[in-house]
Formats: sequence, structure tokens, C-alpha cells
Amino acid sequence: MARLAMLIDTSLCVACRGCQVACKQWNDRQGWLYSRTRNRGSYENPPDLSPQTWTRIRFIEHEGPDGFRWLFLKEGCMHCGNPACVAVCPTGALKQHPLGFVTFERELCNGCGYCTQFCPFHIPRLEILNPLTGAAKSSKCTFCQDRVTNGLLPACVKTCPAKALDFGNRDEMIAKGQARVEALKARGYTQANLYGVDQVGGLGRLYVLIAPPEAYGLPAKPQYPALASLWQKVVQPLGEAAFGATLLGLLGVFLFVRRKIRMEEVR
Amino acid sequence: MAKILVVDDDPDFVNLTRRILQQKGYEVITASNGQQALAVMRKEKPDLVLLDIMMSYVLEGLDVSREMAEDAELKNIPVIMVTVLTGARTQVEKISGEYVTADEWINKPIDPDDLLNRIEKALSKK
Amino acid sequence: MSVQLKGRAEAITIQWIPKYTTLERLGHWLHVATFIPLALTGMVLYFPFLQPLAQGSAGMTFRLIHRVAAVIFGLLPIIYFIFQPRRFLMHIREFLPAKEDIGWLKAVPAYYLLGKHEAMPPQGRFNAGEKLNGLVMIITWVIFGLTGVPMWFGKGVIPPEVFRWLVVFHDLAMIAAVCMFLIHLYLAVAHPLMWGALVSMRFGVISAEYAAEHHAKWYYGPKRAMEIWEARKREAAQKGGH
Repeated sequence: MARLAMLIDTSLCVACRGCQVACKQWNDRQGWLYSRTRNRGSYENPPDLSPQTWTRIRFIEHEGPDGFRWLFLKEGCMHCGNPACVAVCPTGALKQHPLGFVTFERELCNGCGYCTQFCPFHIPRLEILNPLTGAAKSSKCTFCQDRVTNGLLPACVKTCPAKALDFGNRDEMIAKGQARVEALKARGYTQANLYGVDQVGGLGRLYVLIAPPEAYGLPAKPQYPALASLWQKVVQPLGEAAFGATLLGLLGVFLFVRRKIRMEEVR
Repeated sequence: MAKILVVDDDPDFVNLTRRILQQKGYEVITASNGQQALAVMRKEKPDLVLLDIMMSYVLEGLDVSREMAEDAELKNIPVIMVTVLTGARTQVEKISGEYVTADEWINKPIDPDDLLNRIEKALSKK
Repeated sequence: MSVQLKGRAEAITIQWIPKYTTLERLGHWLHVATFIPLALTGMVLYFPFLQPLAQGSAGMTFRLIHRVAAVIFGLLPIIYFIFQPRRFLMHIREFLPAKEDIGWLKAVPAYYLLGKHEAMPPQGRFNAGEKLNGLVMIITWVIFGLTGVPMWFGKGVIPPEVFRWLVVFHDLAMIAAVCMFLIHLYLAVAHPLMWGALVSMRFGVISAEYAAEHHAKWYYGPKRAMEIWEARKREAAQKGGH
């Protein structure tokens, strides 16, 4: 089974935000109750990703070599090829699907929130169900896996009127993206680039950008967090080894000592 | 009136005892460990020493009383040993070849009247 | 106090020395009562083979237990400090390393494994092993607090890059504390030489004989304890063994 990916051509996006609406409609998300629409000096709405907002268009005012323009970025889970969130999830609620995206099983989640802290793109959001007991659930874009595994396109891709979104075999999406980047460069967008080909194991979300990633607020060199590796691959096995060694050592001492020393006599 | 040295590492005990003794008119000086107690004794020459057994180590009081017994200046000062240790006296008697028993033994928590009586008794014996 | 021991015809007399106040003993046992649930509920998130327990509402329940126990665990030393500040500070001082600790470390195999009593130099109120336990528990308490509180309240407030370090240190402290706990548990309960220790933590008193043997420096004082040990070593050398 080949890996699937989404191609987001930001040069075609008109920021209609139909994708935001389609996502909420398909996934039964609500208007996030803490983000009553307010004039913040930006067209961005809601103000941030949240448990109720899994994708969002960012409006970035950019001063580039070809003058001032708006950049639009559709943000959401990157479905990394090497997902740190999956590595640190203690319940297995986050898993990597054979088709390449990162799935989330809400019933298994226990609300620990580690995924929110280890994601290199700071995507997952924690939905607090009970502030007193700490009950919570994580929340993020699922690539509409229920649609995709049944031969349909993700809701956002299906609805985009500008045809800025595409979804399919990853290699094909990469090829398409690279061709688009070449076309943009030929038209004078010298900073055009394809983001997501190799980072963090290769992202499931590929972006055709017309400015450097940093201009969009994307990390130029996102990394699988070193601390996730340290934690999962070094500290955890170290702990298991330490416990095992201690228990065996104590057992050994006990068996050896039993024969050698009698209970001290109280004189 | 007589001068009494109270030796104990517990400041609450020292303060309480000082109040009891001062009320009766005694002059009170204090020390909080064995070394300090011996230095104070040599300087001030109290008429009686109220000595806690267990301070920085369990048998410190006994070491102090032994040193007092071996010192010409101090050996005639009466000592009342104060202890929380059960069976402290018996412990001491078992190794009694080396340690000098005190003139009086009193157990914590102390009864103020009991303490004052014993002090009078020890002072009158001098 | 006279007791009749199993297998002895006559009653023997034990003289008791006070060692732990009631608050100290209560604090210790409450510490145990919170440490174990904290370790177990934490381990649910730690060991992959416990994953089924970490999931869903079971997992949320364990997280809640962890937090409730953590609050009590965190408060215990503070309560001790408020009510018995002198003893609190005395205890901290007694845990600090000293010269005789090196001697203790060198004598461990001979004493704990082979039972050679004369191999062990006189120890104070706490021997080096007990000091190690005390220091590990104190230091890990601090680390658990400094990492655990932000892990609880700081999501979204402190930078994720900082949070990641907190988790790692929380885990490292857990490994140290749990290993120390296992060793401590073994020595207190199972090792034949240490019977007095558990009695002292349950009842607050220690037998004078036990103290004279195991904590000679605390019992006789540094000078006399050394004299007794030298004499004993000479005796053992003459007899050619224990």
C-alpha cells in the first residue's frame, strides 16, 4: 500500500476558508466556544487551532522581493513519516496507519497531553473535559480517514473551489508539487519551494510555498524532537534495566545471605 | 542561692527548667552539649549540674560525668542525670566498671516538685 | 521491658532508646502510602506492557489518583517542617556525607553479605546507606515537585521545549527513587541483620544493644566507639575470623 499525502498549493489558495467549514461539518466540530468572533486586526478566524478546529487558514502579511502580498497557509496535523506524537503516546491512541497518516482513537486517549508537547509543529490540542479531575482528550486533523479508506477525498480537498488542494499517492503529489514549483519559478516567484518532502520522515502534508517556510511561520528545519528519542529510546529502557537489575540483585543477595547470617541474637 | 547548670540539647527543656528553677530563686546557667558543659563548669563552678544523658550521642551525659569525676575541680559537684532512656540506669550498671553513676537519676517528663525536692536533697548532702 | 523470644527459656530484657518522634513515623508511613500509588500509577504511563491500563477512562482515573497522591506527597515534608523544624533541620544535617561513609562503603560486602561484624567501622545515627536513601528521597522529592507541578498546570503556559525536559527528569527521578525504594524495602524487611530498623520506624524506639552495634558512633560517641572497634578488630584478628 503506497503512502498517501495531501498537496496544498498556497499559490492557488484564495483563503475562502471553505475547507475550515467542510472539516467542521464532516467531523461534527462546533464553533469553538471561547472564540466568539472579535476583531483582532486579522481575517484569521478562529484565532488558533483547537479541539473544535482541526484546520485553519493563516493570513500572513509578507514583504517579499516582489513587494507586499498576503500569504495563506492551511495549517493542521502534518501526518509526519516519523511521528513523535505516536512515539510518546502512552495509550496507543495515536498510531501510524499503513497508508501513512497518523490516526487517533479518541476512546483510548487518557488526556495526558504528551502529544501536544512533543509535536514539532505544535498541532494537537487538548480538550479539557473536567478541569478538576484532569480528564481530557487530544484532538487533531485525521486526514478524514473514514472517507479516505472508503475511496473518497478528505472533506477539505473535496470542497476547495480554487483546486488548491489535492490528495493521493504521495510520490505523485511530490511530483505534481515539484512541477508546480518549477512553473512558479519560471513565472518569477524565485523563492517558490516544496515543503514536506524529507522533513521528519517526510510529511503527509506537502506545501507549495512562494516564500521561504519561515515567512509562513513554518519551521525551516523541523526535527523529530531529540528529547523524544532520549526519552523513549534511552531513559525508558534504562529504567527497565535498572529495575530488573535491582530486583535480581536483591534476590541474589537474599538467597546468598540467608545461608550465611542468622538473625542477630538479642543479648 | 545556689547556681545550677542545666545541660540539654533541647532548648524547650532548658527554657522550661530554667523557669522552674528561677521561680524558686536559683541562679541558672546553661549549656547544650558535653564539651560546652565542661567548659562552663570550669569557669562558673556551679553548685549542681542537671545533666541530660542523650545529646549529640546517646551516652554523652555519662562521658561528661566521668570526666567530672576525674577532674579535681569538678568531682565534688553533685550531678542529677536526666534521661528519657528506659533502663538507662541498668545499662550503666552493666558497664559500671568504667562509668560513675550520678548522685540522682530523674526521668523525663519531669515533675517540677520532684525535681526541686531532689535538687534540695543533693545540695544538702554536699 | 522484658520479652520472651521464641526458642529461649528465659525472658530477656531490651532497653529502648527513642529514635523517631510520632510525627516522623506518621510522616514516613504516609510517605510510603503515597509513594506506592504514585509509582504504580506513573508506571502505567511508563511501561508499554501496561498500555491497556493507561487507556481511556481507566487511564484518566490513574492520572487522577496520581495527582491526589502527589498533593499529599508534596505536603508531607512541609508539614514536618512546620511542626518540628528543629528535628527537620537535624535530620537534613544527619543525612549529609561524612568521613565514616567511605569506610561503610568499603565494608559493605564483608558486612552485609558475609556478616563480618568487625569489618564495619562505627556508624552514626544514620549509616552511609541510610544517608544515601535519605538524600535520594529528598532530592527526588524536589525534582518530582519542580517537574510535576509544571507538567500538571503548565501545558500551554510553558514552552513545549521546556516541558519535554521536565518529562525526562521526572522519569529519571522516578527510576532513582523506585530503585532506592526497592533496596530500602529489602533491607528493612528481609535482610536478617536489620531487624531493629523496622521496629524503630514502627514504634519510635531502638534497642540499646542494636544501637550500640549498628550505630556505635551515635551510642558511645566518636572517641569511645573507635576504641571499642579497634579492640574488636584485634580480637577478631587473634581468633582468625568471625
